[in-house]
Amino acid sequence: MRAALNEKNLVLTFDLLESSLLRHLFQQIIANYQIKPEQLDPKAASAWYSTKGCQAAGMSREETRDWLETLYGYKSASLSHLRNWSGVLESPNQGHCHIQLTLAEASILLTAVNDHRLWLAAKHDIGQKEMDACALPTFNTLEASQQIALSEISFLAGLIERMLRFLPGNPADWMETLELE
Amino acid sequence: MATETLPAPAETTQEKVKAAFEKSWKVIVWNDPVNLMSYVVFVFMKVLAFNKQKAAKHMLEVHRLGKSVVATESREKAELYHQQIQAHGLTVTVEQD
Repeated sequence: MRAALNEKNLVLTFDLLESSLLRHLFQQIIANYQIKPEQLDPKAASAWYSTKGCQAAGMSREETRDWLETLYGYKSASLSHLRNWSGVLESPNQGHCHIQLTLAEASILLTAVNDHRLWLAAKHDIGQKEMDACALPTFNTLEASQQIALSEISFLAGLIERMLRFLPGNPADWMETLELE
Repeated sequence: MATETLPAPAETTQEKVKAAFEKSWKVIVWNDPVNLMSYVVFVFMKVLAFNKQKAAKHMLEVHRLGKSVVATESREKAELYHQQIQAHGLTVTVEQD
């Protein structure tokens, strides 16, 4: 998995295995983005459509419903991009697939990929303890479904980190700001 | 001697309007185990227009203290931030001071 800038576009390059895995994950995101908040698996819904903030703000039931509808609309607006990228991953060229993104599209992809990390964690009961289970002996004590979910979460984290390096201000390199203080 | 409590005065429209426009609504971002530190910095830079240093400072506050007040605004603006930050996957609430 590589990221590079080509003029003003971000180009992501994946080998065949990565392309296949990412396409599978995109298909899951596409399926879940189409499900209305009230029909989504409750655990997963809590990751994307939590209304705790609405309650704390004293929003009425109608305001909360509209608020959720808008959030759902944001996700639906990403579907055409996700379908397009998923299609690109079906057609490797010399053993690689390339996704070319404008900076605005990169932001959409980052949010979708991050959403899926949250969805996987919620669905498979992955909390701080499981996220910290990088050492093999601990990892092996997790359920198989959690091991798979953690591997996918980690793969997507790698994609996010690579992409952030090329966004304005390079948010990936936030530690450099601490050295300035 | 029996005492009778007077009913609390109803909030007037003027008070409601004042409360809505006063910059007294705190936008609070909470820690979670999944979001990457760099991704949180990205969201603060994008949604709140923080520079990287300020974004990193608030991200570390979230990471170390469990939460950070990232803005204090009118109700309308605070709710907008609330929605945009949650749309990016961060855990966020809005509370009145």
